[in-house]
Amino acid sequence: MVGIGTTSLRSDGSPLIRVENLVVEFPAAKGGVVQAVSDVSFDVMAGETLGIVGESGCGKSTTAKAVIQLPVPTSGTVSYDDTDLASLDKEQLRKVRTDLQMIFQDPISALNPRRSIWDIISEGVEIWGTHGAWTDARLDELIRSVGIDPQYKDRKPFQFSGGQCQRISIARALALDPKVLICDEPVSALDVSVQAQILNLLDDLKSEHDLTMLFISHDLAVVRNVSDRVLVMYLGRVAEVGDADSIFDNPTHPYTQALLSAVPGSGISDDGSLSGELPSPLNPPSGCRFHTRCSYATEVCTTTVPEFEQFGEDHWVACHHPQGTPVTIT
Amino acid sequence: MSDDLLKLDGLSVEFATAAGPVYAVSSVSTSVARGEALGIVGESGSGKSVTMKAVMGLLPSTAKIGGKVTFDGEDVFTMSKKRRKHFYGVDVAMVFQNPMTSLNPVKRIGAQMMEGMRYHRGLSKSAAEARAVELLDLVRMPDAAARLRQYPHELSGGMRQRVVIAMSLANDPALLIADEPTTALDVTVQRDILDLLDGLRRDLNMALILITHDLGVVKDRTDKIAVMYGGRVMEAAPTGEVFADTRHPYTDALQRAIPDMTMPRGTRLDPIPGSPPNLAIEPAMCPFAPRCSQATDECRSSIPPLIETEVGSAHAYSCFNPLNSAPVSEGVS
Repeated sequence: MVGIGTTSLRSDGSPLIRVENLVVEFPAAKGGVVQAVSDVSFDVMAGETLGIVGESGCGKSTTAKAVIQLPVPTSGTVSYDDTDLASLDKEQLRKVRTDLQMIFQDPISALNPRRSIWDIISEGVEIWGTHGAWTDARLDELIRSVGIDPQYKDRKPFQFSGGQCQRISIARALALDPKVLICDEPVSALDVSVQAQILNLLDDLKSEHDLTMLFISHDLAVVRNVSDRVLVMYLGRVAEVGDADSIFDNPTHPYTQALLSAVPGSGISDDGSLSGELPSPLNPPSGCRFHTRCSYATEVCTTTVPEFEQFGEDHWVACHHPQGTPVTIT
Repeated sequence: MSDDLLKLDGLSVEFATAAGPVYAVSSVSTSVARGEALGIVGESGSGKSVTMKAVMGLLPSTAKIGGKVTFDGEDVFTMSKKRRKHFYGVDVAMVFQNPMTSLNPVKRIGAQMMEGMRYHRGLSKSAAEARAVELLDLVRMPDAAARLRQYPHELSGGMRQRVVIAMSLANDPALLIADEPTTALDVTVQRDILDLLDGLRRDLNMALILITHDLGVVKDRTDKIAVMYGGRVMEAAPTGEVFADTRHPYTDALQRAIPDMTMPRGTRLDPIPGSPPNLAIEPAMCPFAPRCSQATDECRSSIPPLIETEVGSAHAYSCFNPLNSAPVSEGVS
């Protein structure tokens, strides 16, 4: 087995999104290959929020974008609602994408500065027809539901604050009644006093619109607040995945432990294992990619890629020296 | 305190714009002593960076500066041009948020580091080079000597910030101002850089001003904190008291709005309603009043002065309806 395996995938129920052995590589200069995502597998049930965490360059954004086939994965499969997205033709994929919407980190650059927010929010509905029962009145209602007064719908993005622009991008994402909302660092560019407003808004809209969410953030406290499950990534691979409480209360991969201990005021003791720099994804370390920065690393870590082992009902860790005891659950 | 190194006394900054004046900073008073770490906490538009840029003389000519700033007893704004050149870069140095834009992308690390030392101290090339290596070692840069030949793009974000910090220490500043030094960095690197700054302050007996939007960043690494909002100091206190004995509703609201790692998932956050204040309106009331749950008519009609919790106390707040106990004394500290 080359990869870390797919044992963390759940066999019961039918997940809305199922990603198996996802690999995304980008060509680099002089024939090099950036191994952005290497053998990542996870699934997301309908209504669930999956938080994806890791340092910059760990592939968390690329993984989420590969789910909507932007970019098309190098290998591996992405199934949405039991359909393999790679098997769809261009037109079918366009249709599916209305179900999968994204919001981005910088709300101001995500909006066209020359168009009114009404144009921005209604464009998808115009392209796709009324898409069920969307009417101007319902779009007004949508704008009001994200906390913007519809009387300002003719204004342009620069007339709104950063927090309001993020509300507008959320309204745009919801205009097509998506099933899945992919949030890429949605609150990182916002002030702390506004951040809480947006997190609460996302929480409200999630239950109102029955959304399934992929939530990417480098802020672990935010991820803990919003996520049902968490995927911890390191240099293109999954280090730990499972139930959010289980991972935050009992971090088992040395990387997860180091990451959590780095949060100011986390109170988690730190053995200083996370010294040094993130290696280059152009030439990732052999074996376990974390071995160059891990204080527990031994010979086996440099040669063999660790496979997932189970540490709780829904808690999977890929490590040769996990800081806990594996369990067998039948 | 009598041994204050930098003292701000009623500092105000107004910008003249086409649409009229913008009141960026209004009567800010604070101080920092040698070896002490002061945290200035605030959101964007709170005036925290403008305050320090005024001290550093980095504001454009459209800025109208009022109040007094003294460094070691000397008035900063009336310094001669010649004295100023020595003040900035030798007495006081500054580290900015984005290490990529503070470094020149087309010059080698060594050349950039040596420029300031040769200018201010007239060091020879070889002496400056030796000092550059010494400084890179001081900021715990691996392989220091080899770095001098590298360009900024060859280094990671954390490494670049180490270079910027090393450069700022070149002339043994008595005061280092770090403006959001870790905001552009990963949490893991953030901790390293904050620990580094903390260690340097202790080892070099340097005063440190740490400007940040993140209360968590200043919590364990400063002696005292000034919380700013709408260009004013809302609360100033020894770091422990800011968290344990919060008086200002804004400081309190800020702490509640931030998710905490120990909160169970799905905990509803307590956001601060509304938006930050419009600084183009001449201040006539408490800037936080429109968003404050405690606000009364008094808050909306006059500006609360900075009041000490007790006579001579280092803990002061500017609020008519503070949390916890009532004030014993009045007067601007």
